[in-house]
Amino acid sequence: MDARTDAATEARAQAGALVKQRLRVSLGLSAAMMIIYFTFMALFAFDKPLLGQLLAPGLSLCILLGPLVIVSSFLLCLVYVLWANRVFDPALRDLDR
Amino acid sequence: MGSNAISIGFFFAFMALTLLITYWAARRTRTTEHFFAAGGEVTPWQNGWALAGDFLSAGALLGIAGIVTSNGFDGMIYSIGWLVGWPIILFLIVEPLRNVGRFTFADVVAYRLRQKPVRVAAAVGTLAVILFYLIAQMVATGSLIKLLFGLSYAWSVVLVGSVMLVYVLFGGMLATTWVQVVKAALLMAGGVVLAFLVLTHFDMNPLKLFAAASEKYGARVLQPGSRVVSGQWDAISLGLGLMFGTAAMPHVLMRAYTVRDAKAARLSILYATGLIGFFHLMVFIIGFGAMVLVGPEAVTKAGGGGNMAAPLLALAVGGNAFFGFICAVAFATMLAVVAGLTLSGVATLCHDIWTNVVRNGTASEAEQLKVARIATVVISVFAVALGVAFEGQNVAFMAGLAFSVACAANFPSLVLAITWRRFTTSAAVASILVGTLSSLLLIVLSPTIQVDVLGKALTQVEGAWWFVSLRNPAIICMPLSFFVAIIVSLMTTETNVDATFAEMQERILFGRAQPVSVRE
Repeated sequence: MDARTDAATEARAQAGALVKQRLRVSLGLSAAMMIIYFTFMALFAFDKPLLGQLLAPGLSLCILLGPLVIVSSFLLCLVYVLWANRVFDPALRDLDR
Repeated sequence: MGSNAISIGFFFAFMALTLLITYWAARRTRTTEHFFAAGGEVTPWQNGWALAGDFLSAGALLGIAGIVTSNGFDGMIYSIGWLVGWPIILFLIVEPLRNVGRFTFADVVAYRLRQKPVRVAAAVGTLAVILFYLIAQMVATGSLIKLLFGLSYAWSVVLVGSVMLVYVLFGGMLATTWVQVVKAALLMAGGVVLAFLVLTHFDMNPLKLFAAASEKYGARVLQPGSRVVSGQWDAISLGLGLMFGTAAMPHVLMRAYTVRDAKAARLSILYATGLIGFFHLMVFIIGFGAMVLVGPEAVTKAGGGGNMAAPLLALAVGGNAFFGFICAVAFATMLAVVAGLTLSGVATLCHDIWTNVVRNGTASEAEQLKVARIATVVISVFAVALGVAFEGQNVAFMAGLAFSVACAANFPSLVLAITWRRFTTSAAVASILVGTLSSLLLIVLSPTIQVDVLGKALTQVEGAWWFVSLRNPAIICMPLSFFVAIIVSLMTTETNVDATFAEMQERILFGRAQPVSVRE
């Protein structure tokens, strides 16, 4: 094997590692979103009294949690974009040289 | 209604502006790359607004506000479900889609499989989604315009169909994008002002609004009920359909191609998620505002199945001019959504079916543009004809059906094509067809059709062996589609899997160096 094939093999291995890393982040964040959402939906479906508890005048648990699900989906997106822009893209550029 | 003149004035201003944009865009739409993807020149910020414009239908403002006004919290189940699909698009779909595909999501599914069968199957899935969604939108549009402007139903549908035809036919994706951006900006502005005016009545404190609502109509409005979504597993199934259906809506996915690169596509989904989430939070305030300040009785009396909640609230807190503005915004919203849907249907017919199946990928640019324009006319005529034909019919289930088909037919094949080496042509075809047909079948056998549409009594069909009690089929159809895809993949083989998968992974990582328009 000459030096060039070595470098190519090395690059492929690094690309493979990067693909795996992104898959881990993507699947992890997707799982987080699904857990948040389906926990909320499961409470909605199976434990309405719990969600209906009043915490303060005008505030029930579902009115607190519902908007929090909305806010958390935006925050998870923000986490992914920050990771992708700061970690993934630079690593990809190094690989693409 | 006294404010008719004002709303018609606003409406004509919107038409004049968007037709001007279409004229400008038409001069720049010379290639299929422009027609379907606006030349890849849309910025992430614009695309984020356009995605919000594409996705926020009249149902998001008028429909959800109406549900909240009459049922309280339960309306929020839809708002949340329509939002949580966006992170899934961002994490799993948008970057591979942008880097591998060109105009449609079938580009990605078919990339390493046999083109013809996969594209035909994907077209079936896509066109089913678009058709059902388009009919639902058209019928809602016809009856809403009748209610808001007093124009007859048939003329409303023809008017919307014709204006949408002009946008798409002449301006392609560039005009459609700007129509979406303008509409989204108007919708947001209307929503912010309306929510703000409501909150001024409650010391700017939403909790005081909710407290006033529960004082007037009982604590049940702050608690989850079972009038909007009945049945426990039905609620979970609805959630699945909304989440993964959103993540596989063809007109949303198509917007990934309008920006420069994967990074821009990623940013545009982030912006869209923020905008749509913020809008849904405001609609919640608007719905409760209408409950307290207008009253569910007055909203019901106004007709339109609760859709008048937001306009009536606008009249109550902002006067005639604001009422006219909100009505015009609702009209603009319907126009923009049907334009986006039509364009993605056109992309499927022209790019997937004509160019890649009929012509084996060898059609010239001029020919493709001609086919695209013919397809635009065909889909518009279809949309108007079906819209008129379904006047007065209960088509509310069609929007749900569209999400269900997207979730069961498009989502599994798309995700497996991106991530699974063993995925095969037969599996893609089988899973798309099984997802589409099983969604259709289960809806037909459910109370949605049997009771709501055919008017049978629940007790009459309940005992039948074929009866399906779930109104939302996603919980059965989506796992079924995944299961079929996996079993068929394991039973069949594709040639040269390792090489094609490695090549696709590389393309997912690096994409193309330049947009096609520059390269060509």
